[in-house]
Amino acid sequence: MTRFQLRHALAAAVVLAVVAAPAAPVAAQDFTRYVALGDSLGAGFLNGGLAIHPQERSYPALIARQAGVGAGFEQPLISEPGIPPLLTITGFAGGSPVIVPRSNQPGAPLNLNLPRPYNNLSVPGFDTHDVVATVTGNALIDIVLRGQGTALQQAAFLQPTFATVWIGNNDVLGAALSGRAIEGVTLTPVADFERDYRTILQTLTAVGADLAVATVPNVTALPYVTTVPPVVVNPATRQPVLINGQPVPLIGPDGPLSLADRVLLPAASALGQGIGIPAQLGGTGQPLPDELVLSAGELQAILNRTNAINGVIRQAASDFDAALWDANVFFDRVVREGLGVGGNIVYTTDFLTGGIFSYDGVHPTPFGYAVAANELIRAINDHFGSDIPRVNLVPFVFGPDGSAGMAIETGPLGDGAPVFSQSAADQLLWSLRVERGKGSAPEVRPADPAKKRPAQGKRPGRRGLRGRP
Amino acid sequence: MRWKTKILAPAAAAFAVAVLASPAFGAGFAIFEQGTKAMGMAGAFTAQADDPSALFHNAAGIAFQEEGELAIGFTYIRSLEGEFEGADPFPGEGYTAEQETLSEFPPHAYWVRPINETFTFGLGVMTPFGLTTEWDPTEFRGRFISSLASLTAIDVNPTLGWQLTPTFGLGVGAVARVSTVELRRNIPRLNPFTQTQADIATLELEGGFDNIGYGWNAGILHKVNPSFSWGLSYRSKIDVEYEGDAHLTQNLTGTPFDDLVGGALPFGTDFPVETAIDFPDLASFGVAFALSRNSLLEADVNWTGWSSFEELQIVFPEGQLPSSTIPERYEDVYNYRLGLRLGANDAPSQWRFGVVYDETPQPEGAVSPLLPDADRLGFTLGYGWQGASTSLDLAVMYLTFDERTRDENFDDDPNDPSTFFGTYNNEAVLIGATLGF
Repeated sequence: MTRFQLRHALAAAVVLAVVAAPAAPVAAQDFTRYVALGDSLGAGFLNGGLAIHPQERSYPALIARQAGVGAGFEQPLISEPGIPPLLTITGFAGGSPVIVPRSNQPGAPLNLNLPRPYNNLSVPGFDTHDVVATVTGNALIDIVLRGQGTALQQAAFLQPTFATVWIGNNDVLGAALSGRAIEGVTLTPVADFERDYRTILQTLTAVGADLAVATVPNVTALPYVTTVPPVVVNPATRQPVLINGQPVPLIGPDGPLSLADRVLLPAASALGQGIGIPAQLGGTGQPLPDELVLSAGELQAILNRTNAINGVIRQAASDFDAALWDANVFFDRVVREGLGVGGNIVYTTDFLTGGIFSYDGVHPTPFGYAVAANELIRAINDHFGSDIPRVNLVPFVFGPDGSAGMAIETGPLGDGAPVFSQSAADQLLWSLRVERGKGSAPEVRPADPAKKRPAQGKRPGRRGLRGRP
Repeated sequence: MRWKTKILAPAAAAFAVAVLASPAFGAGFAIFEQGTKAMGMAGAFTAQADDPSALFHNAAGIAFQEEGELAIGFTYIRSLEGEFEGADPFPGEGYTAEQETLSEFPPHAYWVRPINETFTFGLGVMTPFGLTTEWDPTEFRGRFISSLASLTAIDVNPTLGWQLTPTFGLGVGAVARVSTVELRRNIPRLNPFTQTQADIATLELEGGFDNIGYGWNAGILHKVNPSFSWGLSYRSKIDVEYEGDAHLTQNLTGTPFDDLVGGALPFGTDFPVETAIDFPDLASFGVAFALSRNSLLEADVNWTGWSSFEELQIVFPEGQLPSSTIPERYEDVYNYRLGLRLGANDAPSQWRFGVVYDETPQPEGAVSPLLPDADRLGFTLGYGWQGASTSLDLAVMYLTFDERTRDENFDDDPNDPSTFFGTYNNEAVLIGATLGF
């Protein structure tokens, strides 16, 4: 379909929608062509992978549905069990639930032949610069972008009437997940962020899009960072071991950890082998590797950078007349107080039992994404005076939408701390393109779905894209 | 009290069928229907107070009572409709539910005995507050907020009436209040295997008659001339504390998740729970005009100090469950009553009519399955029969509740766990019967 045809088809669709549904409540905001730019959060990534059931419940998909966009909202769908295969709880080593990929056979792209860019151009692992600069990369990137230009170029090509932009998480997240806060490597310099961020908003407003944006939550409050305490825990009681009334710190790369340091979720495997535990308490006495520890100083560096980035986002929202959801403020409160939903149900940020975060410890559950959609809808309605209805949370609270399309497996949770397997960690960091430290290349990579991708030169619409600035 | 059921119940039933009417209960959880004669005139009775129910409506009324009298009766309250329609984000557009039918018999008993020409003693026992809201305990999506809330307050109210002049009387009394409360709700827990909420337990709280709350009441009645009187009545705020038992019953899901839950909560044993309710004070002012020898019109304004009901705290002193505070933030309200009596003061039979408009004290953020209140409009019809030494009063009230919608929380808080949006529609009928002798 040429651009001309596309426009006519869209115009016809609009006319049809107006004629066919005159009684439907009309949102004041024009969602005729809605585009979402973002990262794994926008893609609907959860449980360590990207798969159709959660993709269809990603916050952009939910906003599109609530705004009445319907079937015209296209996404780079991936069949179950996802790419990489979604994580699940299985095996109960020593009474501990073990989190592993559900399968070693990944899913496959389902919508590769769409003759135009996807409406949801959110790419797992993307930071702000990737949106304006990256054209190709790992399998997930190629499934979304299909070699047809940057996410921003493709978004502009669609001439969106409305766009959501929730980007910036990976400008600080890599530091938290890799245990290393390195300026310019895992932390994006503020000036670079500001330049790219404003380029994105400028480009979208230039083609006529109204915007909604969101700030970056505190990534050091994710279960991936907060679940494993920096002290020796008695596996039988799950309480800290006390010697002379004092907890015993784990051993980090620079000696005993302080209570202000954080141990990352995948350390559960190393701790299980005695690494990081003093020899007198039955451990090996070896230190935990740096990539599993966030020092208090690194935490502070991440927080400072997050605050600076959010300052840029808030200012840009104001400058570009965008609706703003301050996800950072929202999430801070959820961390402190829990997240109350209808009917006296309170979710928390606790790993596995809190209900907001999925099995990868970083990404929300379908419920968490639905809440994000509702908060964005609230911000859009407040800013533009529209009347988009909120998402009904009941199917996310009680199922079936909440269960992420996984086989419902149950078993005794046991008394042990959850074990986040090495393979789970590997595929998560691979998906998010987090650079690992020395000699820690993932042992098991998901099969590269890029191999199944049709040759790029045959992609329809490519020429049209190339023609755009 | 076999005689009561024998005589009153059939009479009331016959009356209800004949008149095709219905009643309801008072704003918030107050029940103003504490005497059937007054109820027939929609409670516009402060400036008349000429039967033993003056002990509730205006204590000064007993000062004018010339003979001893005992009056016993009840008000039958039955809901006709209790519909709920849900809204997004919870419990969802298109969801509907219906309250269990309310059916209650709050009683009243009054005894009045003149001491001498000037003073009269009275003793009243009444139920000025009460409430039951009940929903399906297994299906209702609001069951984690409440599937049953039931409250009864009983006042014992000795009173002294003092007739200062042939036309001016005072009354003052002491009030001892005991109360019972019962709450039931379910408890959700996230099932980590499904990442969805499971209904793991039913929590029942029961307390009552543990502590007595004390207050007082006073009234003025001035019969200015045979065709005009006014009255003023006040009943004080009373705080009641409850120390009760909590009981948790596990709801089995049939999966290994049950074992995890089973060890986490104290199922099967009673543990202590405490709460308190600050009941509001009530002031009434009424004026009555004789339109003719055979008819009288009264207009009343009531003020209820509902701002006393700021919150409902549920405290588990031993920590088996986390304590909680439900914000209520009620507001002081007025209600307005107009009553018409046809038939002379001492006629053997009277017909009574009334209309009442009752403002709800409940702010939108507190509207919930625990108690969905609304502004109310009530219409009453009453009949009184006076024999040589006995009397019988019957009344019926049809009460409509304005449609009440909650679509916002206190402080517009998106994080409010009591979020349960939707629209309530209620309707009720009350039937009163009082026998005097």
